Amino acid sequence: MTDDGTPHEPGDGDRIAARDTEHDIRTAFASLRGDSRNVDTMAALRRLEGRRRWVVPVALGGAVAAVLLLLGLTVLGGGDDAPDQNVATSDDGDSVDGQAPTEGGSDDAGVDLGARLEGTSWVLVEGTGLDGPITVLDDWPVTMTIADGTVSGTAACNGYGADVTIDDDGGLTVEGGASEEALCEPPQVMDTESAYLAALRFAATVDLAADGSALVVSGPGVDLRFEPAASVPQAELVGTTWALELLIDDDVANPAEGQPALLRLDPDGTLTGGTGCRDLSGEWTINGAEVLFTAFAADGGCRPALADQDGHVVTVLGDGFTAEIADGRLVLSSQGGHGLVYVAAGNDDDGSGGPDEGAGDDGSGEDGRGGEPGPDQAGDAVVLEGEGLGFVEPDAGSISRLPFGSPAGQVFDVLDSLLGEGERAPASPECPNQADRSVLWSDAGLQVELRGGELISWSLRPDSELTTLTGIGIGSTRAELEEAYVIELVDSTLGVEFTTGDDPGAPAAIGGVLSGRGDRAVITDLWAGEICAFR
Amino acid sequence: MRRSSRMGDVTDEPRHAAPPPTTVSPTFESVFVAEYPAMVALAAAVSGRPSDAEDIAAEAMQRLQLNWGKVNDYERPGAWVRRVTINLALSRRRRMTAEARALVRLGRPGDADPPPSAAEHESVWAAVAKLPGKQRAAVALHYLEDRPIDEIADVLGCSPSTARVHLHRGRTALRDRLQSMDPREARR
Repeated sequence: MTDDGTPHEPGDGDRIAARDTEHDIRTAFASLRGDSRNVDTMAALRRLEGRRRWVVPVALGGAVAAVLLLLGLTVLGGGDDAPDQNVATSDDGDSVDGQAPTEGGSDDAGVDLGARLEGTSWVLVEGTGLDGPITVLDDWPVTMTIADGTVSGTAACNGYGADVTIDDDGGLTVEGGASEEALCEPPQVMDTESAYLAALRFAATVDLAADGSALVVSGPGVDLRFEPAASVPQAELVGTTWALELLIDDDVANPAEGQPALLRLDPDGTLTGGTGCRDLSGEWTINGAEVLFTAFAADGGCRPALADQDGHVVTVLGDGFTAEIADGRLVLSSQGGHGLVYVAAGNDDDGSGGPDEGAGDDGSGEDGRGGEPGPDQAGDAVVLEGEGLGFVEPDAGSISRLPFGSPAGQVFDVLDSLLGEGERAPASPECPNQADRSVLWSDAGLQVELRGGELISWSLRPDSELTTLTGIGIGSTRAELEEAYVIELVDSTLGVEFTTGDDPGAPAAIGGVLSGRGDRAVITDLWAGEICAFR
Repeated sequence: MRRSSRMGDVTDEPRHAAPPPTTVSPTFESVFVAEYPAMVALAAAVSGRPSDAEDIAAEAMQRLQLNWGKVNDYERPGAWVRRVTINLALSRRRRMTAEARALVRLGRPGDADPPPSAAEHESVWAAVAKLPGKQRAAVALHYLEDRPIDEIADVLGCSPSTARVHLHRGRTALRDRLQSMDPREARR
């Protein structure tokens, strides 16, 4: 097709065009090949070699490796190129933070340093490694726990551990060493990890501030400054059934969807819960400031719409996390800015509030979440339309409408009465439709946006069961969609997008995303109006 | 986020062959030095994310290292690491697509990553990005490395005839898409 939509006419220019496009393609790939020759291959090899000393066999999962290390088992031998421990001392003998050392060093009189550090957990706040400053990344903390003759923690990306000996005079010997072998993104994470682990191998002294507020591990050319890590609020965490409320990705919070995703850690070391679609079970332990799942299984299946949430929950829980309780909410934080926010769903001794309750397998969402109308009732009452929303008036036996442009007050009156009170929130300031307010009726999976006090769009959550009058909703197939509407497809960064607006006789368009182009591809997203979508 | 260390979705095993008795097996380090830049280029072309290319190539090389005792006996260790690189790149691409969808729900703009050499060859990379995964891989192996069909098939884990189809369809689709563009656009 040409630019103006007319069919492309074969002609004399075609051979030239074909040759030119082939030339363009070859030139582009040649350029890429040339660019790749500029990568620093030897630096990449050194990074890999540096990591090899800390690698444990692949068969050892992260949490299992961490537990082995907690038990003081060294997976790899090491120390073959460790510096002469007798050479290194701290630079000036001062304790950290410029505080004057107490008599006999920074230790408390009568209590040896090793005993004071036993069971303590720390977070790296600043460091200098063999190649210069170590970048400390907020979302990828470096942690260190000293216990049972081992030092262990998370080195930005991977769990690590080694044997450690701490002398009364602050001498430190780190021997052996093992870590998991995953790679994390972005590359800076691995740079931080490599630099930290290399520095730790050269550590020769440890210095604890008199008030316990800081710890400095030093060696020839290396200096690692730690602050105390927050401890796990075990008393509140254990024995309570928690219900997932939000999924955190950096500074963005997304509401949990699907079945209630519960989490319960019992005092006997077992855990139960769910992701919103799959059941979780396993065992947990606390390693310093982190909760680790030493055995972890997820059973069941997920609809595509819940796969992302499932992956997010499993990643946060499975990677190990810190826990904090604030304002009645449990905040779990894992690496890379990923987190989960739970609210207490029950605190009972017999576990009756466990994950099996209210989490039926049928995905109906009928979980006893109160007397508000559930999705089935909402599906009977609210109708999706290209020009807005419709709602059934049972008494009149007719459908009334909330077209785009309807005043906010009318929208709230109608939809709150049908779906329960929606959650009002400011719209994202980055939205191109300049919406200033959004409202989510989570049980119905319906979100609307408003601008200037008027309705401008609606969109569905993946678990919504709302449909158009013709029965089209999330999960409808392309074949069903095309029976109901004339559609137009386009590939975009969102996937296979469709719009129903191609038919001149049709009302305003409904848009969405299909899971593919085949007849059996299903609708994964559905919307109408001026939506907030970035392509 | 940590990534799984499982292999990707190409499951055919590489062919085994006893090393010729008179030759010296290459070391892992020599293979790394020889192949790493090529893996970076391959990862960039297949994933469409040059910023991730070194990361993908490094992970592929790490897997090569972990499997070196086995892969070293293969007739073409390079085919093995190419297959891993392609699988990792395709997995990365699928995940990024899924994340892009999620971003819509979050009301956030996507993580825009300009295609390789964007300013110079934008139209070509835009067309490459629209190809299905196997076609994209076949096209990359053809144009980047000038691989013959049987080696492309070896890397993709399919028969030569299937590889030929992937390559033919990929090249045809590229040509069609570029020719349908405004000539000024296609030159970018």
